[in-house]
Amino acid sequence: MIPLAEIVDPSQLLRVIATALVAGIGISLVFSLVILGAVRAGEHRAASRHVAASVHAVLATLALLACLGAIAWGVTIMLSK
Amino acid sequence: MAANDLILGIVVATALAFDFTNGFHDTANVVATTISTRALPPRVAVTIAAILNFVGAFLSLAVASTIAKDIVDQSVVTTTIVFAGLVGAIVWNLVTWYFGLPSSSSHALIGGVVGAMLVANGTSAINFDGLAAKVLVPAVIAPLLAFVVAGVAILVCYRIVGRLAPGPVSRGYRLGQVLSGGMLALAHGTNDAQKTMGVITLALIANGNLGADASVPTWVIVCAATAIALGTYMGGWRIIKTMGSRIIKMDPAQGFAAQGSGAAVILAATHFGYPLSTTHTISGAVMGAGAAKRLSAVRWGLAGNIVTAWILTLPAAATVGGAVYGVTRLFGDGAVGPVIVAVIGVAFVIGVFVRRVQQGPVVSTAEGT
Repeated sequence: MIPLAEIVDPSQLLRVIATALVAGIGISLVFSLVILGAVRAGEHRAASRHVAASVHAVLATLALLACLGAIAWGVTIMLSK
Repeated sequence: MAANDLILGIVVATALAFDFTNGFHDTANVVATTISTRALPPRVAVTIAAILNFVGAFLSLAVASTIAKDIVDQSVVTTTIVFAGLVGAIVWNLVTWYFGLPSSSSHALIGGVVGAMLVANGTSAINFDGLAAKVLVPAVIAPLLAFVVAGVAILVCYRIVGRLAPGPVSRGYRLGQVLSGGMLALAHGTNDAQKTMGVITLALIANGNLGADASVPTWVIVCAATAIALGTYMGGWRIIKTMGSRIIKMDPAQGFAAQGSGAAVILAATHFGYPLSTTHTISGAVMGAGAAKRLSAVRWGLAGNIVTAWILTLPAAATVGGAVYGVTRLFGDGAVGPVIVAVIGVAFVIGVFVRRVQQGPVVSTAEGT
């Protein structure tokens, strides 16, 4: 019987697992930050706390840009296959 | 019309029928969570998925010729073997659809071709190492990896938004689901429509209509994209119900975590040349997103049925593929065998649908229409 390690490249598999963990958890984290930033910005704006509102708006914007970057990465992978 | 051309015509029609069942069957996985969390109305969700599957089919052609590559000896593949393999895949897709179980159409196709090949040429024509590396190992890794990633992802989501008002949070994740579901549909179209293109191109080469190094003809691309999009639009509502609400009742955050993690796992694996089944990945992600919140939230009995269907996919499709090849050969090399099997196949499909319709609508709440 041929060992599993000869059928599957362990280093490739580890790279897949590591990247999937980072990408999967990462996208959920940054999108949650978009929601957190947007909701908190709205609350602070309503309470006339403009500095805090701006900080959260910036957080939401940066996280949204990260999400859009992740989508672009995904499309690039599909195009380059 | 020569017998070979008639067989080729039957193979092309069968390949497009498989493509239709692929869209019908697998894309249910893609839209199920979007529908169950009410991120989008059912018809809108399947329409968007159908359009993105159609677009995805045109994005890349690099894997169009790789179906069954490294698994069977392609030099001895005939149009009859391809036909028998396709019938095996279609039958298994319809059986699992009938019982509302998500299973991999790609594995069904590979199983069908392997079964027909075994009957035609024996074990020497099968590369069992390739089968293990390309089918069996990924079938174990995909759901486990997606389960873990989605499980951690939903805990991260709850940690970040846990103290916020639930209304805006749910609206936010529903919006996120539109994007993550779109990515899944695009990835599915890119992967799966190309398999049908590859099968048709292989048949055209085997029949001498194309040279060995020929690229995929435009009409093949358009037909395959249209078939998978139409299948998607029809919607496999039984599987949508299983994925969307029978395994677990999901909230929008879980739906987003499952879809986002599923898409990330599929694309990360693709990036490293390690393609995983969309079905296995998203099923694992749905279970992971549910189990992380509460282990008992997952209906483990149903999850066990799904895993059983995965395990049975390869041998069941192979059995049907091998049997179809054997029956076809009873009538010699001509077109009589494929014609008879095709007629029986169409009758089987009509029978399954009629029986299903007679049992009444299954998913009135999920279908919405």
